[in-house]
Amino acid sequence: MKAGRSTDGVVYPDVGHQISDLVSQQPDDAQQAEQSRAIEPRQRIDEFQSVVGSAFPKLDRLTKKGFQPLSDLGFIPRPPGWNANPAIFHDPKIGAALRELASSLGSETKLQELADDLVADSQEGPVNMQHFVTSNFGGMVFPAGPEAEDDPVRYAGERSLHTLDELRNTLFDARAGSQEKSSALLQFRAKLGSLGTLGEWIQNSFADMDYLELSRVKTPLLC
Amino acid sequence: MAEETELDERVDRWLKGRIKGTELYGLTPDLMKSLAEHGYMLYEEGKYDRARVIFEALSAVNNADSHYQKMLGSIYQIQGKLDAAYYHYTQSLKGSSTDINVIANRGEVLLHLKRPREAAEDLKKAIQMDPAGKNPVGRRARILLAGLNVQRWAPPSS
Repeated sequence: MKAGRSTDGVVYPDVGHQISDLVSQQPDDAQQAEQSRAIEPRQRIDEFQSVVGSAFPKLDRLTKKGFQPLSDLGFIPRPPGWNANPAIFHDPKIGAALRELASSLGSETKLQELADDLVADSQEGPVNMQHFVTSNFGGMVFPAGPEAEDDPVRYAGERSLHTLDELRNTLFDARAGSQEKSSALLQFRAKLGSLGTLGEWIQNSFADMDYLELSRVKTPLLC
Repeated sequence: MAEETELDERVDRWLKGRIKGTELYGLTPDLMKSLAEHGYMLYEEGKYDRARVIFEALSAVNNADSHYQKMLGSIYQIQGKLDAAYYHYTQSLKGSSTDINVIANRGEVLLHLKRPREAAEDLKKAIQMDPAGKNPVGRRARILLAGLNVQRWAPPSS
């Protein structure tokens, strides 16, 4: 191919002889075989391990070899029979029950008023942890009470093992002492608070879902 | 309005001891299980405060379920409320006394609460329940107990 001017005015070089040269210089089969042998990957030598081995003490090398995993701090595996992928807010049946629960937890004010009245009548005393555990608890009871910076209701809620039913029985038990009643009232308020927080959380979760659903409907499709 | 009246009636019945807390709020076993499953999912995702809201509310109406108690024990342990964790783990063991996870975790809690003798009892029990060392929690108990023994023989700090 000779150099020439194309119709658009660009001059292209003549490369015809170079192409013919490349064709004539093709290696024969023997040479080709030698070349393919030359690019065969070499046997790899792990130089890293020997370097690491010399740098680490013997104990470390032993522990790194086949060391089996430990459980994480305080970890509890999922109890058998519990669904690994719950979708409680999307399940129509459970969702309806949750809305009803949130509604009753949110609108229930009678018990809260009762607790407030009882608080006004009660005398605050030191916290006795013995009142926080059930009668047949069978473990140790630590004497510590809430620190100055702790919220006493929150503190009671975290440590109380009683149910609302048991606390109601203590509150209305004529034989119970004033300290016991005062402790029961603290726990009662904590339990009501926990249930109220659950109600708020369910309502907020549904409100977030409704908002997302609404924005999805309102937003025009962009594609 | 009718709903509120019905709720007020339920509260009255509950105050008189005629119904339980679960009936007061309409917490059926299915609903409680679903909430617990969701709580575990939050726990797995590391959302401990949200998971705590669920398990605290569930145990407020049912303290006999060992699963709710052990979940609360675990959450409090992770959050560093060790005495609270101990109470809930112990309550959980009343329902299922052979739960290796609860026993080993309680042993670790006791270790941090400076109760080495009681901690060693729990950790030994956990090790006996996993003699081959196949369970990660059993292996953790082994290491904690070994650490406890090392501390026992260590010279007193000046």
